Parts: sequence; C-alpha cells; structure tokens
Amino acid sequence: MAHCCLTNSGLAHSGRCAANREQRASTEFVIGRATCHALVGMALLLGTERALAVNAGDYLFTPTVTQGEREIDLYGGTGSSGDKTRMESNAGLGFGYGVTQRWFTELDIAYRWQSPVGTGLDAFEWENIIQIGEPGQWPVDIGMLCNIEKPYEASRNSPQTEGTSIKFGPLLQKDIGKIEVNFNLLLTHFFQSSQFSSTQFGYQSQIKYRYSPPLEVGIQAFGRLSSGGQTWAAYPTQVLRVGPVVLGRLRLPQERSLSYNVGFLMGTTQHSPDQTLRIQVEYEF
Amino acid sequence: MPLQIRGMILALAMVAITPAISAEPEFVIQIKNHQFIPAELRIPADVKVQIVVDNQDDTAEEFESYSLNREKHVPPKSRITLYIGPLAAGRYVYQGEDRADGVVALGVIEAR
Repeated sequence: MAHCCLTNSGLAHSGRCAANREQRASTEFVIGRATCHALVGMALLLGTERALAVNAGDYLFTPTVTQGEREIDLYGGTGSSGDKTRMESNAGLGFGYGVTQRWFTELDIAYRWQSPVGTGLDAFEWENIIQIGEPGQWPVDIGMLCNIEKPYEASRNSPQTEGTSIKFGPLLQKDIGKIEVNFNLLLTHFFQSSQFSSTQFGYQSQIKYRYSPPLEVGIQAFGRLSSGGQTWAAYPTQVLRVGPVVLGRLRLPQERSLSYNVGFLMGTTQHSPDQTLRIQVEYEF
Repeated sequence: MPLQIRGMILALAMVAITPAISAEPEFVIQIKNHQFIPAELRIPADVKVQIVVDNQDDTAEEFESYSLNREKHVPPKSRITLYIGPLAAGRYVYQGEDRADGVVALGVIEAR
C-alpha cells in the first residue's frame, strides 16, 4: 500500500516536462490514486471490521447416535453480503462413524470463499457427539457436542487468523407427536484469539414436521450472541439467521440411505448475511 | 460465565446424571433367526413404556421405525432398551436390518 502511494507521488513530482509525458504521468497518477484509494479502502475494510465470519455452511447438530453407521457428509452454503458482512460461501466434506451406542465422530475438511479474499482451504474439524441417555428416556433427549477446529492458516502459522478453537455444549431434542424440536447451546473457545473475544456463545434451533421419510419441513435458526470483540452484545450486533428448511431421507438398498436438508435463512440483524442458502447431503452406509 | 448459562448447564448435568426412575411398564421383543418375537406387540396407549430388544442371534440387527422415530443398532447376543411413547392408539411398524439377501424382519407395536 505504502509502496503504491510513494510510486505515484514520485510520478507526480518527476522533473520531466514533456507535455505528452506529463499528460501520461498525470493519467497514471489519477488511475494510480484511484487504485490506491481502493486498496486503502479494502485495507480499512479488512483491518477495521472486527467481525467474526459467519459460516454459511453451518448445519444443525442432533443428539442421537446410531452405532455402526458410517456417513459421508457434504455440506455448504452461500451468504449474501449484509450491512456489516461480506459475501461468503463455505463448503465442507466429512466422514463420520458411529463408534459406539453413545459416540459419533466425524473428521471434516472445510473450504471458504470470501469476498474479496478468494477461495481457500479454511479449516480441519474433528466433531464428536456423545449421546446421553436413550431417546425418550427423559423429557428431553440430551447429547453433548465437542468440536475441535484448526484453521488452515493457523496451521501455517499465519498471525492473521484465529487459532484452534473448541466448540462444545448441550444438544437437546424433544418429540411432540410428529413435531421434533431441537435446541443447541454452543460455546466456542478460541485458544489464540488476537482480535475477538476468546469465548463466543452461539445457538441452533429447529422445529420440523415429520411428514414422511423423504419429506419433512421446518424452520431453522442459527445465532451467535456477538459478532466481534464481546462475548455478549446487544441484539443489533448479534448474528441471527432464521428461515425455512426442507429435509428428507431416501432409503437405498442394503441399509444405505441418502439424507438431505436445504435451508434458506434470512438475517435479522446488521451483522448477519441478508440471505443464506445452505445445503447438506449425507450418504449413510 | 453468566449466571443463566451456569444454571442451564447445571440443570442439564443434573438431568444427565440422575438415574432414571423407571416406573414404565417393560416389554420384551426377542430377535431369533432374524425375526422379531412377538411380531406384534400390544402396549397400552398414552403410557410411556420400556421395550427391551433381546438379540439372540450371532449377527447384529437393527430396530428402525420412522413412525416411532427410533433407529437403534442391536449388537449380536445383547440387549438394548428403548423408551417409547406415550403413544396415541394405533399401529406402529418397525423393521430390522436390510440384509444382503433381501430378507427384512418386520414387526408391529400396537398401542390400544
């Protein structure tokens, strides 16, 4: 940036007076100054907007585990820009396995495209769900999530990104006839937080109607109680996206199945993307 | 950590560690030769029940039912417990593992 400005300054003060050269130099200066201002603006945008990225590929965690079930999990999403957010797309690919009656684990690799940064490998994740009790045993089904995420840039020792984080919290589910209600309270702790609060509170919720195996409909919500430097913030600076979701599971021969869910979320605060389209497909075998 | 969050986590932990006070009626479904026995089980409607699935085979089986919203792996020579209901009166179909030979064990729970 500084190099760009000095170069243009040098052009403006050059001692060469040929008219065509002056004109060319002047034109270069104008173009260069505009470019410089754009780059300064971009730098300010990147430097001062201390908002945590909103993952467009977020998906709902559920507390139940099926032992022996293996799954390939493909998920992604794209979020439009909002008042305080930039356009961003995320995608991830994971392999999960129900190790025991109570423990499901999944390894994920996540990609991110963010304006104006571009596309890149975003993070490695290790997701673990512990089922506590049996479904229906208590008034509410309970699980615990423990998700460890290592950003790719942190793996390369870049000082520009947050470090490894751990996300954990209770996963709750309640069946009321054909209605299934989920609520997850998730706490994320960053071990090397440079710009943001080291602890963030988030939540996920879903209410769905179990119409039939291949077609269920509902409403999802993904929220975070802060978008930047605070653990808790006033509602306008929180992140909250709410919208309809369509889900289903298609049975395939020999105990295999394909599950999907597609959601269209609308941001309700300035720090949320205006719209987010999110998709998840799981091949279970 | 805010007091409300501490309280919520404490309440969840208490629920999680509290042993189930099981006053529910208990029923048993056996799995023998890849068949559910009895194939049709009657349980009281509007009452929460425990169903013990006892797999006596040497192979793993599954208890899966969309209408009951349950999917459970049953390891060979072992028992699992399901908590069902309270159910409205009606018939609820469940099935076992979709085996390679195309044979699938079927069963019905009738609440009345």
